[in-house]
Amino acid sequence: MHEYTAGIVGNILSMEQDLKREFEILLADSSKLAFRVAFSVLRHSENAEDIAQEAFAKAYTSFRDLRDRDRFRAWLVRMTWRLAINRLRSDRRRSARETVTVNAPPNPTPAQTILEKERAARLWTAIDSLPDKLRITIVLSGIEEYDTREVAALLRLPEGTVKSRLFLARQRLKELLT
Amino acid sequence: MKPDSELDREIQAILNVDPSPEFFARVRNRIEEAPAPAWRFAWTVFAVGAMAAAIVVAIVITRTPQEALRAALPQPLLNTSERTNVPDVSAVKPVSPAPASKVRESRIATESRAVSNEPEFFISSGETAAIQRLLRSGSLEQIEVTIETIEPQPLPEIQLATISFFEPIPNEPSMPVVMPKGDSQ
Repeated sequence: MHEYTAGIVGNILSMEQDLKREFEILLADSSKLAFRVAFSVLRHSENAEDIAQEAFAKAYTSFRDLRDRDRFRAWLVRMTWRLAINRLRSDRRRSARETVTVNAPPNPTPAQTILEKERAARLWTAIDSLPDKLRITIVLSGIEEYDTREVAALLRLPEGTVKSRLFLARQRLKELLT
Repeated sequence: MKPDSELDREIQAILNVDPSPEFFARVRNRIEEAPAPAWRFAWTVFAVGAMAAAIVVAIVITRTPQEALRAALPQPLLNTSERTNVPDVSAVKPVSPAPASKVRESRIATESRAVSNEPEFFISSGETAAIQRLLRSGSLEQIEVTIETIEPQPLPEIQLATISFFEPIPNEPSMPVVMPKGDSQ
């Protein structure tokens, strides 16, 4: 009886280890995605990291249902987006917000940097003015150059819907930026 | 207007931000500090439940079948089955060489006691008494079966109805039909 019980406990522990290992793999695979989704909403690196951490912590607690990679990433994107939006709403009163840090070309002149920052700020303002549905679609399509199929998988939407949303988002952004 | 590719490049550029190198370590720490996940808790509950079930099964197997059956059956079910299915044979007194009137009295008393225990909506008292008599006697010889014969009564004569003659009904218009002018066709 004792050996039988020890066997059950051993199996459970090994399964737990397997789940942990799987989670580590998915964490490494999706950390950038979660961070960038949060950053697209908050535009603050530290806050975005906090939100991504929170999303991963939530994902870990219900990881048994999210072992499939696609399912996990889709869930993570939605959770991160929601958490980031909530954080933004709660932080709205804060006036000071970190300015956008864009990966600039090497050794830019101060004038170039200022111009790029201004352009980025205008683009962010335009993206912020989009409805949520269009905003998340255009942001995901801009992260790591995801194609329509991948964005559709992340948002759990038909590819046609994603295409039409991307088209609408681009149209609005062009209107706002001209 | 900017072409799509230029706009997409710009969006990619502003989103090309990476987390800090410590981000991974912080996420790991956060997960370690987090409360036990639901699936771990579920596994623990499952393991404890399985062990408890194994112990219960072992105890049940080691007990005698009669005791196990009594323990397994819920109390109300036991009472119901006793009351409905099994007639109270133990209450019946053994047949003694007593006078016929005394025997009949005791039988009636026993039957009425047994009948009072029966749920009357399912089995009528007469049927219950008959079943109990049958069980007591142990054979079918003592049961009297009476068959009433009914003599057939002669059927009344059937009289056929006579069909009277009806005169034909004339098929003529009651009023003369006047056709309007120019509408003759």
